[in-house]
Amino acid sequence: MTATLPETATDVVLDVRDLVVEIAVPRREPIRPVRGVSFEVRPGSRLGIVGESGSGKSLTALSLMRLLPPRARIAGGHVLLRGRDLAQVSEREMARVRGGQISTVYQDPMSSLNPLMTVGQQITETIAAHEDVGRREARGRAIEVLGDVGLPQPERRIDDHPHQFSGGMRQRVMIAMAICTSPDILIADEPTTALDVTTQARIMELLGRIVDERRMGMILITHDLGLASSFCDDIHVMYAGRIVESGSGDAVLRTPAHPYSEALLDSICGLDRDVDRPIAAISGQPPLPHQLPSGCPFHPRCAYAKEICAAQPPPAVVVRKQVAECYFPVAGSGA
Amino acid sequence: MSTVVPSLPAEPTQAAQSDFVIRRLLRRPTAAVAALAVALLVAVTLGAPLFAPYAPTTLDFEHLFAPPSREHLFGTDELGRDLLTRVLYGGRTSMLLAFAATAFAMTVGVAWGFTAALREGWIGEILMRVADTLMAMPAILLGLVLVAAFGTSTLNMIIILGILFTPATARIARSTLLAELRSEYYLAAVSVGASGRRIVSRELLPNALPVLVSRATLVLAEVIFVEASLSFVGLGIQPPETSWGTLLQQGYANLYSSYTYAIFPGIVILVAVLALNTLGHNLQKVLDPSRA
Amino acid sequence: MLLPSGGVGRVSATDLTAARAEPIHEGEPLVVVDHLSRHFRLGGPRTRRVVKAVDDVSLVLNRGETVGLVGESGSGKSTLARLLLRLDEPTSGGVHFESIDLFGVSARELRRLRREMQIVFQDPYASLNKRKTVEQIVSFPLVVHERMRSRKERSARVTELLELVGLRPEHASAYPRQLSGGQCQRVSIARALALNPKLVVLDEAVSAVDVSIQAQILNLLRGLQDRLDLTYLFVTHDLAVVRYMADTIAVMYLGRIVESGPRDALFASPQHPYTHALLASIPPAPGEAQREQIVLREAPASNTLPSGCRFHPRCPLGQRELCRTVDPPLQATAAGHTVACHFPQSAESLLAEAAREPK
Repeated sequence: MTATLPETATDVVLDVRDLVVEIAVPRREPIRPVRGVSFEVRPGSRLGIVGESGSGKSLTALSLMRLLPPRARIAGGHVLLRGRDLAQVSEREMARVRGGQISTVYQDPMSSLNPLMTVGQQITETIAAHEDVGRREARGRAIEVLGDVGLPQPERRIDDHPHQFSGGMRQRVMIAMAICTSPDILIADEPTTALDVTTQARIMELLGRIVDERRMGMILITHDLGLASSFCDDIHVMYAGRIVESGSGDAVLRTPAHPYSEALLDSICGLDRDVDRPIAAISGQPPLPHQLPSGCPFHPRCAYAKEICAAQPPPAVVVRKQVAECYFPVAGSGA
Repeated sequence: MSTVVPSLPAEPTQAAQSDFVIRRLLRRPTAAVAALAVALLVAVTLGAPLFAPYAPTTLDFEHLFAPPSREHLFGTDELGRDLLTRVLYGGRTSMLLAFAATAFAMTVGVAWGFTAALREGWIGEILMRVADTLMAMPAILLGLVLVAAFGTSTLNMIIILGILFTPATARIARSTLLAELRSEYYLAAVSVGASGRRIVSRELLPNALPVLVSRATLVLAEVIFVEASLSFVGLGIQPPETSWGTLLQQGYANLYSSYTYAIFPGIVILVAVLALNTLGHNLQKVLDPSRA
Repeated sequence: MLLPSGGVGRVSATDLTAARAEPIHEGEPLVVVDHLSRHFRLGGPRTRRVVKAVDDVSLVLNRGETVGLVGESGSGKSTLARLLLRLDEPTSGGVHFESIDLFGVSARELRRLRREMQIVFQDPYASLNKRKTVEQIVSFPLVVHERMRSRKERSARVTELLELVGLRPEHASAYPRQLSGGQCQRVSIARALALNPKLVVLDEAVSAVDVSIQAQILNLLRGLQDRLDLTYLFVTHDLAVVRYMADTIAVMYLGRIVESGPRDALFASPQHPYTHALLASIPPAPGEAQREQIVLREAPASNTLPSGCRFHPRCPLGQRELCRTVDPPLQATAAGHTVACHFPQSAESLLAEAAREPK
């Protein structure tokens, strides 16, 4: 570790460098589900982190808010929010940051909203916790933000309880709660997975509009490569705790550089799939954190793997308009 | 074979679920201590003839109400009988009674609860309302009433003590079974065409077992406590039989003559109930981690 | 990385079913669903509020083919799937399996029929008894129906089934918690195949696993269908997956089938606004432009069924008098499939009309 960190670029709001998350396992070696993740988020931009189960994407999101489960901790790296390292601040400081400067919208609105309190109470409580405003003003702001997220007649619905809303509406309420304090960063962790497909598109549209209007930096965590590519400016593909490919959504989708991204795209069952042929499935399963293969974590399942892939973890290389960690990146010739 | 499936996660394949559970249980320090205490108590009380230093009828007129000494670790009583021996033999009675009553409560309670769960219509409702009524009465008072009505023979005591804990067991059994009936593996068993009885015994019961086992441990603790209470007021085990409760009573009566007479039985009851409760709660956590 | 096109390995599927008097051939109806309804009464005995989870649904499954049932939450597709296996009792209507009335048979005959139809559920872990090993789980149907009395025979059959679904014999002694989601689904499939059923219902069977595993399982299912001559009812919310798997597709909304027909006809020219919305919500493939969004209005959470066409509160054209008062029946279209809509049309046409609707 160098003595002084290089300066964060001035327009970057969140600068994550070499983030490592470790989970203690009783009587065994600790495991590292996140092994050196780095990315930057700028105001008004949309970043996608894509991965399957076990990739470490959710833990990465949780560690940004320092909401890791009991046995887990940030074991290395920095989370620089406007220059301040969140990995080092006190818990009390962190409580001010959570909800105030970084907010998260979760997957399941039903379990994230308190069923006993009205929607209005939950939002005003959030506002009051982070800002010094009177109750009436807080309530006014709550009505306003509920209107912003597209809730019809917010002044009437503000006193309803969560169960009185449909799934899509509840997610809008969640979003309202997350943005009511105008945070710098909005994390959306699988925000539409629990919703019907016909509602998903509208919620994503809402998120996009909010991020643009309020110049927030948004991080979308998802397993859906197609969704991330169409919604985000840049995406990072995670596998076994590392970012294996980074680039613009379009570039990764059309000409993936990392064999995993390519294989993942090939295995997605899209509307254009040839129904008469088997799907090109990736054989095997993603590795568990305590059983990582040597060298490149993807090599046991990779079609292009050679000897060196099993021996040494590959360095990051620039491939066309992306960055990939691979010795033999895919030589795309166009989609 | 075309699809390559990697090996299982590195966990040793357990021969049976039970030693896995025991191992996890013993890793918790409080549980390990409690388990040890319970095992010890059960062993020395049930094996009282083996462990007691004297025969229960040995009198020692030289040492009446003696304080603890090397010959009499717990001291002696008003007839010079060794208290440690009396506590062990008394414990034997208390323990056997407790096991029998618990067995009664569990058997009847589980049958009751499962029937109510499987026949959800008005039969189930009636069964549960009866349980609620019984549970509304404080255990010790109900016990007193039943003893006054039916007498204190050993069989009666077993049944009465069992009855006190049957309704709550029934409720627990019922709600546990109902939860399992909502599961998908149950639906899968039905879709395979298994008969009702087979499904309950082979599929559902094993999943309900964790809750029932920890319940049994807790019932055991409570039975010991209630029996001691009833015997203390003279409405439980009758002399010349000894139990921890009767010892406590005699100790209380002779409190000015010997302080150890009441204290040691009291401590033993305390340890027994505490250890069983701790064991029961830890079992609950270990057997069903989702509720920890 | 492509799989070898041979699919799964060679296996001799021992024939365990008794010979039938008149075998149903490929292409002939295996299951006929006839005006099936399942209503749930809400609240106490006095209320008259009813949720019509499945309302007057008719469907045919032909031997050897896959029927896809598409819908979102509340569409009734899972209820319908369970009714087909008699895991629930209908309010009215019937199901005939091989011309036998499923809801009218004796308990004994039902037991025999259950061998012919099996189900794979969505949640890989919940559908397996967590206290049993894979061996015990997969051999359970054999034990229940007293096939293969000796343990050795059953063990051999279990090994055969595990290999059929792409697992190794060593997996037999594992518990579900030691397996991944995809592996658990394979175990569920193995259990479903134990008695050589004719029909397998897949209730969102690939929805809870990762995308890359989903591809493996879909390949597996297709391979098994060819090899074992299976008929599938494939229930899902994913239109792209159902297009890949099914020969015939039925789209459900709030208990009714709103559009159905052969796959190619349906995808060539969908007609119902709901189908259009489902299609539009799929993110575009690389290189494709974003499909024009058919925006559905969000209906408030409510337990009462809308009047008239049940889709009208969300439909772009739903303010029309006809839609609000009359429930459209399923009717044949020129495109070769059936649709329940007063104004069936193409997506472009729908968008144009919707733009002209008064607000």
